[in-house]
Amino acid sequence: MRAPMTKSTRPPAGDPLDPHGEIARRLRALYAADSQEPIPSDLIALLERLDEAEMGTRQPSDGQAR
Amino acid sequence: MSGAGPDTPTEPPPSFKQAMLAALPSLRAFALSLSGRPDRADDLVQETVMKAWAKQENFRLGTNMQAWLVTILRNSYYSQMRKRGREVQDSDGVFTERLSVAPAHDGVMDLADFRRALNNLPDDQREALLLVGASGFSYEEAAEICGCAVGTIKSRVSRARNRLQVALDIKGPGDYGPDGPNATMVGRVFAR
Repeated sequence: MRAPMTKSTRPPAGDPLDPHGEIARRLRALYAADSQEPIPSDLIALLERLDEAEMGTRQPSDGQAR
Repeated sequence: MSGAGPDTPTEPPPSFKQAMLAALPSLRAFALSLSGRPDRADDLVQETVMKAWAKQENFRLGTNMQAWLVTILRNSYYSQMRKRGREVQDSDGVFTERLSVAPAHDGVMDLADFRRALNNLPDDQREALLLVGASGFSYEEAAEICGCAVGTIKSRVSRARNRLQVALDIKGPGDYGPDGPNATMVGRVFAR
């Protein structure tokens, strides 16, 4: 069960999606299944590299290479 | 709740990297459904991570990182679409095939059918539906992410829902009933 991020302004009535309807149910199920997939390791590695690069080469001015 | 002892300093706020890591599963799920292709989704997420990292001074920790990342990702998606033109999504059915053999928790066939129908929606409708119905954004937040009026988002969601109902032959509350073993059990109870 994936709890969506809590938002306060979703209208309970007159919602064009109908949060209790079949489309909303399947949409949430699909999203939950996708969210549970493991994050590819190269993505994690990319974040690690970005973080290490920032720690290692922190410069006074913003000289980040593109 | 483990209280912080006298020697334990209060927990520092998550770093930018930690916040990004926490946001990745949901971001990737959005990318998968938006693009309809796992390879494209991973490219989009990777591009988003790099852009977000480069612009991290624009992000304030504690604000809605998911909305910020989704905005970057959808802008990248449309930019790529404009460059390459729309391609047939998952034309070989690899993605939906994978879904149909994934461990089931709630109607795997339903999900594969639903994925196909979702992929056939126009981009703007699919996006609006995903933001509001799956990612948990309000209509107002979705409008801000897409750079359009709230009424436009509502209209797109409404049209998307109608199209899906037709595509999946969903007629209404009658289709909400129990399925699988539950249906059998309920049927037995009502047959008495």
